[in-house]
Amino acid sequence: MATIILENVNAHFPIYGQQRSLRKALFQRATGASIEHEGRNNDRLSVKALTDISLTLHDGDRVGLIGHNGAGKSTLLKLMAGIYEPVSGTIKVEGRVTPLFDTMPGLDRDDTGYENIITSGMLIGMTRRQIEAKIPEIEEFCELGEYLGLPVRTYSTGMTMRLGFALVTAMDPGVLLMDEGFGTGDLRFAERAEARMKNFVGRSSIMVLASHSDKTIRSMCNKAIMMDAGRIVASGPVNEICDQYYESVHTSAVADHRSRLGKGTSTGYSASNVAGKEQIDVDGWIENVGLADRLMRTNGSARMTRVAARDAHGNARWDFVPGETATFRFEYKILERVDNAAILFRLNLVTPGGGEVIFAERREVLSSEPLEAGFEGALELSLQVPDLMPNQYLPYVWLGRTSNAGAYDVVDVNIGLPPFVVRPSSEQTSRGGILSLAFEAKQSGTLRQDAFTKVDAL
Amino acid sequence: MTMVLTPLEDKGTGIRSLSETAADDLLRGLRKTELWGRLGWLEVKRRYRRTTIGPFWNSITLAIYVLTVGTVGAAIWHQNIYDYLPFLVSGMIVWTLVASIITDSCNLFIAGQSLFRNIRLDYSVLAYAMVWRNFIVLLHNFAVYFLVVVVLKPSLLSFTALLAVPGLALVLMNGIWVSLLLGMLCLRFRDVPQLVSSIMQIAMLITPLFWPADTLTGIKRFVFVNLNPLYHVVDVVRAPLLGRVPEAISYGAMIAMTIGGWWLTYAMFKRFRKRIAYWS
Repeated sequence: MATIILENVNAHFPIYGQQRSLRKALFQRATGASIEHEGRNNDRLSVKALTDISLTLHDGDRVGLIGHNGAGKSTLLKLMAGIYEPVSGTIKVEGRVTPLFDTMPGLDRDDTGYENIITSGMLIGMTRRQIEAKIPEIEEFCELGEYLGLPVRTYSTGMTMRLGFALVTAMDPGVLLMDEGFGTGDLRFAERAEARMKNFVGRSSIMVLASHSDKTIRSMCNKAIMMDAGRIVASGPVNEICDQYYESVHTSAVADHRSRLGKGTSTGYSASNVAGKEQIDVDGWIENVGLADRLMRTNGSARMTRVAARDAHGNARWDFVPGETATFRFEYKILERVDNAAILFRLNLVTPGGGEVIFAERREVLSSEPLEAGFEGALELSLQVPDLMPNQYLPYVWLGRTSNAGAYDVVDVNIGLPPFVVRPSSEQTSRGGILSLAFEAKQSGTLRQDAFTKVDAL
Repeated sequence: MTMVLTPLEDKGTGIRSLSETAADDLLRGLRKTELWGRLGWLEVKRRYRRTTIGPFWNSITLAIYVLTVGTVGAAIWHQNIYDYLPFLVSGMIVWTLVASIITDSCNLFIAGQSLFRNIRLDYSVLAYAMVWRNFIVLLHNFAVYFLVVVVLKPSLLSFTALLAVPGLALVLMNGIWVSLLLGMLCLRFRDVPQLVSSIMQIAMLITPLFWPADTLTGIKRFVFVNLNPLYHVVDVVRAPLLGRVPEAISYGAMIAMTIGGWWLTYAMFKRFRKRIAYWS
């Protein structure tokens, strides 16, 4: 029987060798509680990642960890996995633990697929014999055929992911610890993969999944724990907690949305703070906004400095009527040399039930060549707003590697980006759904006496 | 804040705590021969991928080095070339091993962080893999020794040469604690790797590698030979390869270093092992 027990667990991350300017920025911008000064002259900086966590998990628990960026979900997972050890408190885990934070640990692009299967498998904790017994199954599932004998650098990103997925899901999961993005977030798996994933999770004794999407958690878990600023805020049955999380994130957005629908049209975006975070000014400068949250979650190699929306006349606004053209401007700068860079821009519609319906996503490669520190760039995306249901669409901007793995910076409503608001237009006909289809209406009718025969009886 | 999802029945009984001891890490890591064997071997293989003669490139570089520097050195130190070349080659083989273990140690946990931050890994596995990798390179370099000795002075291949094996074992045992200690130190203080590399450059010149220890006398010999730990490290392997039994003082120094070094490393590892992931 598997068990996980945590008692009064605390974790702090020391920060070493930061530039003075970055320190200043952190002091000023961070939400006070999470960054602390230590040492004689208050010159040692540490981020308080987890505070007083106590919990007990048993066989059959499928637990979702939900919370904002930087709430401590991933840190908690890594503590359960034994990767980080708590500063104080105790962690007891019975049963074999499988942490899935990296699909193929120790991957070397010059080694062949077979060689990497064995190295990664051993690093995950299998013996060579166990892995060799699994090879036929892995071969069959990943469908890479003769590629398995070639160096992994000849694979596409998708092929590498397939290999990692086939390998990991072939093992005995035991206590399964997963971070979002593994098989649930960025990857769009075919039905076959989804079935395999379900089966894999089903074989585990305990599963803990960290995600900030309540939809993912609702679909995979039976219990949930909501976290904020390194603390457990609530825990219990999955739907109850997810509803609570949805409320906390979207209360103000939903209230604003309702009042807007009630009032009909209104001008300008003037919603109150989303999720209580600081509001971004109308020009969209976000370089230092919510930095602690962003740095906790990303590697900080580059930073979004501005996310702004403008109309066709160059006026800054985030609310549009269908038919208008909205131009989104993204400015970024590179803080340390990166091999490549891409921006993913997403607009999410959040339904009142809490599920996210992705309605738009655009991925732009900024550079497939290395970018040096100090490089500053901008990207503009224009969109003719389609005939959408009047609503608030939550923006999410991801800046990271072109391979989709490895984020340099993530900016979304959690740090205060305003929602993209679609206002009702005069021609709006539909009262529900997401998209109004543009029907052309044409009517006709004539009176034809001769064609009418009433049948009395059969 | 306390939260219990399911009632806790058997509190603490039979459930092992996740935080294991340093000794656990060292022993369990050592038992994973399959894993560190593979990690070390793949590293050698990767370095020479797509070359025809692989790690023997190392040996060839060493051979050329020994032949050229040896010819010049024999003249400078007024040595007989039949004695000087075997002396130089056996010294350089051991020095290559020692110096690369020390420099690789500095990078041990810095390079390994992508592994131990994503999976649960005994830190000692990385140290064993690194020492093993350098041992594999050493075996290739031995080819140069045999070549030189067979051509110039076959009489050196006696039973005394077998004493190099226990000497080598002592060197490797010290290599493991050095890699753990330096690995931790360099991960936390990123200036240390620079310091170590400059010290190693100077150490190569002041350790009797190019010149026989007997060229120095009196206080100079005492400082640069007897007090120089690297001399003893080299000589416990080199002396048997040159048909001599190592001096008792060398064995004494090695045993003292093994015990003292492991004692210090174990204390540090026990104290700071939990912090390694946080330092990365």
